Amino acid sequence: MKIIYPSTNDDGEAILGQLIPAPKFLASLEGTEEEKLIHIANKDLPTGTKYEITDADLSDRTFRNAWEYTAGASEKTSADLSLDDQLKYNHITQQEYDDANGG
Amino acid sequence: MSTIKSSAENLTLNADGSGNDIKFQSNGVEKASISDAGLFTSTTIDATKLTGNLPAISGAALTGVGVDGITSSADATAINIDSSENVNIVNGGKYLRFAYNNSNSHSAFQGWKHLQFGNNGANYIIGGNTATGGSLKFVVNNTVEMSSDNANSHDGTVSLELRADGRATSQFTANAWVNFNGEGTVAIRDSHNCSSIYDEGSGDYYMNFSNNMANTDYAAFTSHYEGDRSSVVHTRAVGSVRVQHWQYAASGKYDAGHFYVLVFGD
Repeated sequence: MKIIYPSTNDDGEAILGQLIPAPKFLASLEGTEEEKLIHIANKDLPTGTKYEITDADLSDRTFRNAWEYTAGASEKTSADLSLDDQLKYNHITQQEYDDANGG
Repeated sequence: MSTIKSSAENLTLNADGSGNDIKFQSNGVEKASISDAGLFTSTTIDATKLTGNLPAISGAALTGVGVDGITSSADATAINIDSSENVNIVNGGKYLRFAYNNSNSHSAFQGWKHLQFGNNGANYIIGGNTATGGSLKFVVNNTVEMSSDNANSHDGTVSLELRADGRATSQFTANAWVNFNGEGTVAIRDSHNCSSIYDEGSGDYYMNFSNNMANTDYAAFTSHYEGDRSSVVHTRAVGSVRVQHWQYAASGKYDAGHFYVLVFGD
């Protein structure tokens, strides 16, 4: 499973981006595989990025730079990780969590 | 010899009237007494004659107990030894201090010259409760007492910090690395402090950090397995580093089958 999202190359042309999760990071998360991938999308993709989770075979990269993203029925939008999740997965410290909560 | 005794019945000594004690004297000097409240007082008690259980006694009320070299002003349990001979420093205190060559034993910064553990070659586990983002810090050049609840109450340098997120951060340990396949089905073989990679076209990748770098002044290195190619660090950000793989002959970016990224810094 991977995440695909719309991006642009250095010339401003639309391309398809692939987000490949790190197995070790994936294993550190809780939930279903989809829930883990949503967590990674929220963490690594800029907030508001449209994306899809797919198991499509993208191994033939002959025309890789010509790939483009087309929205599908299961398209999602990346969001900010909650403070609770950031603390749970050690992206922030307890002190940073408390500070963010006005403590 | 004179004897006061009963014959097969209770013997009662009675100091009649409120507030009167029963007193025992030797050569005209009182040696023991039983007060009207039942308090037994004696100048000495021969412990070798005692049997049975002692009643619960507050440690604060004990004096002269223990061995030379050990003192305590605790008013609650600080150390216990269980039936398996485990010595436990129990909850209530904040610090386990080792003091050396200082009359003030609370000056923990003057620690023992050597802190040694020995267990016939077995491994040791040193850990803390890092579940809520705490870490284990190794501080050098500290000259002040770590006396507050703030773990940063030192004036030394944190040379190594083992963090709850799995990183060992220092100036001499890699903060992140990844080994991935950028050809065919793009996949990460192994990594540290890497949550994912972006594949943004042939030979164009981003490594996303599980935990961000403190700034963009870090040093990133990249390499590859294939010959006649070059690898470059394109852009550094606190959350990711963009790397590219180029082929000389084609003067273009090219997928890398074995691509490596290594990051040092804060």
